[in-house]
Amino acid sequence: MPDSSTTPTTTRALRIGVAGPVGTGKSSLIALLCRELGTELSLAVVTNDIYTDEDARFLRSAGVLDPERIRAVETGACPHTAIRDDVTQNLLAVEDLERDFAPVDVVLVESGGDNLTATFSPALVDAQFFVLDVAGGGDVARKGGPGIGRADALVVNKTDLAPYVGVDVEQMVADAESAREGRTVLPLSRLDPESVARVKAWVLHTLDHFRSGEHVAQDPGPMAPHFHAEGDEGHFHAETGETHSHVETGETHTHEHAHAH
Amino acid sequence: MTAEYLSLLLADGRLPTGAHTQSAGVEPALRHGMRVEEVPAYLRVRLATVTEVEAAAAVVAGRVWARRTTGAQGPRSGPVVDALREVDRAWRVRTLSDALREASDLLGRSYLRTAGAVWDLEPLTSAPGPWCRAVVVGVVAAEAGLDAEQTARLVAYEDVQTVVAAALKLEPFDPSLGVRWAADAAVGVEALVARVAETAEPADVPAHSAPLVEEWGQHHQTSERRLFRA
Repeated sequence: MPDSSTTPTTTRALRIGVAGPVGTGKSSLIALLCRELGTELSLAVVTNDIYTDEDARFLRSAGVLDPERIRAVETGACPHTAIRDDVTQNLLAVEDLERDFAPVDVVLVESGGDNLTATFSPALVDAQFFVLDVAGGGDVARKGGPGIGRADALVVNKTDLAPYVGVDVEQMVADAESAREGRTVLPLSRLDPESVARVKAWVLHTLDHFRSGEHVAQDPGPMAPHFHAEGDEGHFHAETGETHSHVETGETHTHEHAHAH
Repeated sequence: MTAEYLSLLLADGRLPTGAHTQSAGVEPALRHGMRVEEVPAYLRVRLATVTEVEAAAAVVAGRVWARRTTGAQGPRSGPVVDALREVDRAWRVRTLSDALREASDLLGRSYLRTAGAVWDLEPLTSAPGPWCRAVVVGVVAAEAGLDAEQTARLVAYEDVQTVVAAALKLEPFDPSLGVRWAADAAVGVEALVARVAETAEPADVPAHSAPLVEEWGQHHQTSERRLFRA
């Protein structure tokens, strides 16, 4: 059984959280990333399904990653706690994977499907996706919330379903962009290779920045975001008192690509 | 003095050690037909068996650690780790289910991770694990200044609250009833404290077992759709 050494590992992977409501496609996004990046990067996955194992089994059966690299962590019906205020069990799982499969480039941590308020602590992940889907309704992005407003990247998933659920994808993306004050929005359909490539590029880009030390983990916060008028110069974070430009953080790059189609 | 305050801190369910992932066997017990009204009886059984073993091991680990800090143990590193390993082994051989041993090891790791960032727990923090939870709790309690009785009470109280909180999550009932159960368990807890407070050596750790608790714990490891680790 696992060698439960308490010594922290020296190989530190980029840890990316995947949060978002139930059924929006968190597991599918992870499967997609494993498929797209699994040959060029060393990956590992921690799942936090409310009913343990479900997501881990889905991913193992998807055959996109060595099943040994996918581990499930129980949350005791507290998925918020497990990714935010008591992240110890997840941290141990992440560190075990980093040690057992060293060197690991990226560990993906999937939150238990929850409501709009669950986000990851920077003590657990370096960056996080928040996943919505068009089938959840076009107005969800406008309603905001910490994950929608301030996760490192917002994925608007299943865009191919938009015509069937009466959602205007461009409007939904525009709403999301305004709620996010210019932070990265990634519309995604697994049937659209270009959208897949943009998500992949975002991960690689974030990994580069993580390795060069430019990436700083951000807490999306437990509260609804504040809305500000968008400006070209950058924007002010009321919470941190910082003004910064997305050009400097490189987010503009992926952001522009998101509009390339 | 501060030990009393620190024992409250350590007993608080908000202590970030991953304890929210545990049910102290309640989830498998309910799945195997225990009725929620039987939780008080379940608490008595645990306090008389597995929890007593854990509390006694924690008390012995605390003694080992306290000897080390006063220097009576001699050299500071090797002997204390060896002595703790002996306590760990004593708990381990008394816990038949490997599922329960692994759950305890995981909790020991996360407890040590949190507490090791607060107190100086060298050489334990750098000694290779696994360390069962009882040893880690015993060491942390001793470092925080808790005596044997406080340490045993801490282990017992946590077990009671883990059971009650998990039962409330799995089969909700009037929460004040859970508080009453926990309050009523005080008698059993204090009896346990009296039994284990003098435990001095690893060999003195009692070897009570609760076969059903262990068997259910074993099944739980492979059960699907579980909320709790153990």
